[in-house]
Amino acid sequence: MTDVAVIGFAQSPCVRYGDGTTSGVEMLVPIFAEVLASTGLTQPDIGFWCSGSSDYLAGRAFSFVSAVDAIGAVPPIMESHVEMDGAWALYEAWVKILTGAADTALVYGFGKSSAGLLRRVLALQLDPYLVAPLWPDSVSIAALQARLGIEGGRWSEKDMAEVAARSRAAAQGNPQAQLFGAVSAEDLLDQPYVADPLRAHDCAPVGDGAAVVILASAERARELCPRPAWITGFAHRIDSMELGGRDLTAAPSATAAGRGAGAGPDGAGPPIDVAELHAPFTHQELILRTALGLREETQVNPSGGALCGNPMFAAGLARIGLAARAITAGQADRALGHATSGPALQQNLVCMMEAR
Amino acid sequence: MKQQAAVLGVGQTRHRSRRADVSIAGLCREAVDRAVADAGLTLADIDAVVLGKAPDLFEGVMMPELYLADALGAVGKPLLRVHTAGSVGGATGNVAASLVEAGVHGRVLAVAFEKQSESNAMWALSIAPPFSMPLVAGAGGYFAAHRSTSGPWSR
Amino acid sequence: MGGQGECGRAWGVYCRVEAERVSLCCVSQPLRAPLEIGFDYTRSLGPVLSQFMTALAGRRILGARAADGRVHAPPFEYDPDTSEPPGDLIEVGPEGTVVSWTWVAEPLDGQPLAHPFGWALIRLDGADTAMLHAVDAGSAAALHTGLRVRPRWSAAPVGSMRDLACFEPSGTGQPPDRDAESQAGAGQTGEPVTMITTPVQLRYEHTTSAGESSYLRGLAEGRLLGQRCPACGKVYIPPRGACPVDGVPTTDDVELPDTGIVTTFCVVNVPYQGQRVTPPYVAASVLLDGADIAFQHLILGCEPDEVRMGMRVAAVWKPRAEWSTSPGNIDHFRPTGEPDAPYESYAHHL
Repeated sequence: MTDVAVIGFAQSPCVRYGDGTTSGVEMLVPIFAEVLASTGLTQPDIGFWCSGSSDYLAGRAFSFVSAVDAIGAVPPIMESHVEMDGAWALYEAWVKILTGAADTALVYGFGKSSAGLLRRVLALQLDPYLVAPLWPDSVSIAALQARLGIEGGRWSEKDMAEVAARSRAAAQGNPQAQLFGAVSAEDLLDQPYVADPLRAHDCAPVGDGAAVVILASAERARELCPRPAWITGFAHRIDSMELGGRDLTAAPSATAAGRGAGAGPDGAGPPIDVAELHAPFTHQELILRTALGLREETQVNPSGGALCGNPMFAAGLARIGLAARAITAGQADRALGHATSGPALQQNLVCMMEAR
Repeated sequence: MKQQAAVLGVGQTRHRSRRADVSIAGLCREAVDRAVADAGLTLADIDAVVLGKAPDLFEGVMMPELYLADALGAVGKPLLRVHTAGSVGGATGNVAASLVEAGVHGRVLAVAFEKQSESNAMWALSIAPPFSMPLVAGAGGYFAAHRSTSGPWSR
Repeated sequence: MGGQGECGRAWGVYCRVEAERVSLCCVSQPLRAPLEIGFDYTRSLGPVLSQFMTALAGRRILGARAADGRVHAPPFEYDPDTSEPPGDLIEVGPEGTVVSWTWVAEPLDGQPLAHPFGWALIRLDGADTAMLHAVDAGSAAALHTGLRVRPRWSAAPVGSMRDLACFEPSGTGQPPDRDAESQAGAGQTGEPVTMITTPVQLRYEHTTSAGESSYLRGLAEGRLLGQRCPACGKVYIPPRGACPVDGVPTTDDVELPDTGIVTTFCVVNVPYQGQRVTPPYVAASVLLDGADIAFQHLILGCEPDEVRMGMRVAAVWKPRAEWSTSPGNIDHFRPTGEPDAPYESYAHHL
């Protein structure tokens, strides 16, 4: 199997109301320039382009086509798209390089959640006959999951607040974060519920943003990057769509994806130094730590994670990019990037990377 | 080293302007069951599923792979949804074949569907954002104008 | 120059006019407008859901037994483990137990209740899985895991999940006439339900890019402003966020005349909903003088069979009183009668 590495990553600032349009072009142009410059590549050097986004965020069919203006697709390019988080577009691009059809790929994800009412739009992800007609919003779904864990003794509201406090403190070092700052779990617990038992700090902020990752085959990666983040495992799985039929306090698809990617349980083998987990709710980070069998020594979400910036359809890709950057920047030898899709951690993806 | 991928089986539904006898899941399963039978397999033999679906707006279901996981036999498996607009049927096959050619999976199910009778395709395709040029013709009219531009037009 | 741009920022950065090139004095603030999309989706149910919805119309709730013996309510169409459809459906409930809940202080459009309510996962009696629905508990304090709840049925069942208007706490304190209503409704309709209608209405705020904003403000003044790519020099109208050839932002406004040519066209013969003009009529690609990309517009003022590639046209504007920040200010294009543009002059735009 051909080795593939992540050699570049860039993301736009995560902001509540971005200046750009739902086409994503304004967010993408600067980060394409940044990531290409960082690798010394130019647009014609890229063998395959792949993106992740959602028409429902833009309110328009085929909205992702407008984003192609940011590429400058003349002469024509090899390009594809998933209507999922860019992490799955990264997976498609990884497969493309493995087949030998390209030796470099540029993958991007973007979302302008500020255009609509995100938590209401996401109700359309639910069963169209039995659930979606009631319009359950995504925050309420997460709250139902959080309560199951609290009342089942898996985690407490204090544990959740500590995740938020730790994330915001870490995000002080992330110039692209939307939320950051020093705050105590006690102060956070004094705030009112937004969806009992969730408080505002338990939920990722709504905002706009984009992320981009460059992949390269082994030969190109060695030419272009002094310390590539080699992908040693890449897997994703999905659970049943029946919300009331699965154990919402666990994420079996995350465990299976982790195993598929060679990530865990993190018992034997070298430790994972950094894990960037795509957890838009505090209790979901706790679920994922357990599901992936992460050890105490693993640094989780040094970027602040999705709780500090959650551009829809880019946040999962950004987790992988940030984990890769920890390796390329020499801060980690082994890193895990995770992405999730669907309500209550229904679908999960894990990308394992190492330095050599 | 790229492996060769082979088609093991194919299946289609009866195409009609309205399939009032099935749900969206039922429509997909009609084709899936035929393909799996044609291949002499069961759904349990499938390693991964690729779903192709152009705009969500046609059926009003956002990211339908989430709802279809159980129907497609994908619970506990990899499920990817591609959307490359009009080329999605081909893209679905391409991505599924790539998974086999790359040696990632052994048997991949590629499914693509539309259930346009849930809404009205012309409506979904004609949603004009504010400030846009007035709509003069649908997709057909747009592309027809470009069809014969290979030489001078004379009357 | 003194004064302020309409964004409120003072001018004075620079203001320069040369020949045909006009640069703005201040950054255009985006224009905003609501975008509402809505459709009443008509969903055919298939055999399993048809049984379920027909039963709901008769105020009964059905579940499905999975291969592992667990009863799922609502029923599955395909078993999560075996992927097989269920056998006969089983009646469950109507009462159930709350297994998790949350509170909605400010209900959103379309949700089951317009006043504050709780969402709950409810395990109906006889089922092993939980159903997501609303509970009209009155207050969050009244909701707890373990609460016994019962359905409140809609007065006018149609055979949809909303026939179950919501759940309410079982037991004491409920007015007796509710029970009479529900008995009266039971088993009323015998007609199988095969379709449901699920309205989906979404509202977005559309915002324009900087280039689009100048173009739209220009239109409000009867001017056509395209944007030029600094790399290749192509001029685009309407402007795009980046030059599609080079992928760089277009930054300079270029004022264009409201005349141009037809590069190519088609004659529309097919009627469709929302059509402005009765077919046959011409939808043409119009390339304004000085632009590098054409846009589609209506040609009126001659018979469809008189339209030809290269034909010179001019915009026909609506009355000034009807203008706004919109390309709709131009009603259509008409032939000017000037000699046709030679093919070589526009061949590369095809």
